[in-house]
Amino acid sequence: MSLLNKASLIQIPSGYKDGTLYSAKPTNGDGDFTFSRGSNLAATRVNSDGLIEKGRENLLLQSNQFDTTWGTYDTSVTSGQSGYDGSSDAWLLDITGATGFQTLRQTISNSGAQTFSVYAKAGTLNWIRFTFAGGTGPTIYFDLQNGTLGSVGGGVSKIEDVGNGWYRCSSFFSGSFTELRIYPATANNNPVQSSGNIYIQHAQLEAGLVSTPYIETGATTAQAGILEDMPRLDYSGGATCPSLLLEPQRSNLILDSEYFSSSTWQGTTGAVLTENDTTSPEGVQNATKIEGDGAASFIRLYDFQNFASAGDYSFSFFAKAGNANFIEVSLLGYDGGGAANFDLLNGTIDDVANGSIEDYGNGWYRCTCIKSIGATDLNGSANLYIRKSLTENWDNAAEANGKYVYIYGAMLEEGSYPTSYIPTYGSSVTRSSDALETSPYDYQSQGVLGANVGTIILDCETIGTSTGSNDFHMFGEAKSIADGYLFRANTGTTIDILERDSNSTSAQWTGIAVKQTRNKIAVSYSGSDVDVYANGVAKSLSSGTPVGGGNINGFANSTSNSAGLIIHQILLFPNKLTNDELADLTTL
Amino acid sequence: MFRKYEFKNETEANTFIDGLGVDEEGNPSHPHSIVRLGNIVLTEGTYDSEGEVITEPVLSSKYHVDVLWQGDAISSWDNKMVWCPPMGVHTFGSSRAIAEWTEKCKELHPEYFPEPSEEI
Repeated sequence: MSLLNKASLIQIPSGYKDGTLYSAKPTNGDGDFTFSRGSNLAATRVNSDGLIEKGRENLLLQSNQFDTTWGTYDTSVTSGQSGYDGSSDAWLLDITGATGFQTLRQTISNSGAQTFSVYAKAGTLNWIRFTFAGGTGPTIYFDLQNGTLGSVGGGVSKIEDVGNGWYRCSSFFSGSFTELRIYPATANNNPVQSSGNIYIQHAQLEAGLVSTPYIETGATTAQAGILEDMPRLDYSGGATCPSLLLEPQRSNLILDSEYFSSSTWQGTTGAVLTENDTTSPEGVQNATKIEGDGAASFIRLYDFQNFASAGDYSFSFFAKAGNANFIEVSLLGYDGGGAANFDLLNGTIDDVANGSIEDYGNGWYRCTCIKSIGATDLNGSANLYIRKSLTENWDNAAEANGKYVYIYGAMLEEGSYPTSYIPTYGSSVTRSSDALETSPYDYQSQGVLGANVGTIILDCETIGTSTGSNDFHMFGEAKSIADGYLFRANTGTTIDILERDSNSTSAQWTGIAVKQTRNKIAVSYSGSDVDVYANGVAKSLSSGTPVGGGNINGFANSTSNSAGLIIHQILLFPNKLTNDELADLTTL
Repeated sequence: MFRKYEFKNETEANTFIDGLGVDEEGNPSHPHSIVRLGNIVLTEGTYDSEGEVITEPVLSSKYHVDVLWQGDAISSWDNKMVWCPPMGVHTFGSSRAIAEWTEKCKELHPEYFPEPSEEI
């Protein structure tokens, strides 16, 4: 009989919904975990295709119900038309007057880097116009007969043939506006006509530089991808089985993490930027080409940042080799600042003391510079340079001219290691802590753990190189550190287990496993008889002066003093296991 | 619920934040997300092509804090609450919180949301 058959709770991250992580056992729902984060737009994961997956949202209301919420001005809309997707869900947008304001409009206040898209087809008119009104937004014309762009007025626009005369027209704009307008038009730069029509379907406004698959909305906006309280099952590193990602709160201090031409960046030296030039680690064409323009002997993208406080900071870019393959990522001018240099062909860093490099597939690497910034000088610059080699800059401007790499997803965060990517589109953004817990705290009456007896087995890996004392799990009476077993990544390189009783530490087992590696750790207890195992080895057998885990009734991860964590498995048993069983179950 | 606050200085901000609860090890025991923005940049500095400062950035003399409340905002913080054109320098990555904040901001400060003109 498999030992797993004796388990009362088996949590192998696989089944989930927004707010819940299902357990394989018990099957009646008693062992399911509640999950919360309160962040969708700031949370990403690596999905089963190996691509970065974001939380997405269509910010428009009634995205394909153009007679509701939308306003018509000298136009009418008629539903039931043949659509690009074979449905009858398209609409005829027909001009009914000649004031020159023949539009379909939706009032919506938005700011930052965003993309508006509509599927459109020529009717009796061959052009469609978009306007981001109420701010400094552009006006863009699309030719629906030839599938080409007309006047674009700024930003980045695209017209994509989707078949049967239909095109997806999209425009990227960074700024504020209060109304979106769609005009049927006769010709480029000619919105004034007294009659005519076009067909439209599936409007979408979303954060980011490109349009993504359509999300239908009604009276409220709608989301897809990562949702606010969705557990993130992560496939980083080419994993075939997912693990649960639990991260502490982090903020991306970069205001525009993908739009490098934004005025929120200080600018470039000796470089020209081309947005949406190639496919990013997200799997869509929103990566930027940064190329030497021959104006300087170095190629630089930079931003000035005033840190609020001293501490460890991690500055990262996703980067891919072009005709150059060496980059520097640096925090310069600060007390304690410095650089890390990367080889994008071989996936190496000059010195791991300067940061880290992580393979994201398809030639993409996440390159991170990590520095401990002192209080003496909190002002400096965050930089990306294209270099000649790991140790050399270009000899002159002519040599730098035309050298390029691709970049995506800049992130500057306070912390000694990079966490999962947080996209930003005009403001710094915070992803709140992932919170996983038992609800209700009722393990004993559910028979998951016994009264004063049970076994806890964790298969997990702490993330990052924090030198602080960070907690990652608490099995206790309630969600606090008052009573139960506390798993802690200590200030050194190892993991401790603390037995807590009435708000004080009654026993402690130190250095039982190493941080940043996968560990299988077990605590098996019956009264004050407590055994601790890690990776198949007994770390403590009925030693010390534990008072036992009799009050344990549930589980929660720490959210206020949390270590980043990857969970592969949680096993609970209602009884104390034998030494052989503990050795077997904790062997990697 | 997401709200922005402005304090006289860091000390005053700490008093309010610690008042939300800390455990015996000094870690927060409340469920809210706190982000200390500090003395935010009001006017960007200017720099030459080499990155040398031409004019220093102008920093706020106030200490700024953003909070994503678990539930409603605590009323004792209300007299420190501030509003700005969306979304300011920082926001939380929550669709619901951003939508609620924007709606409230528009209600209290319509001047931050200019009416579009009718030009063709």
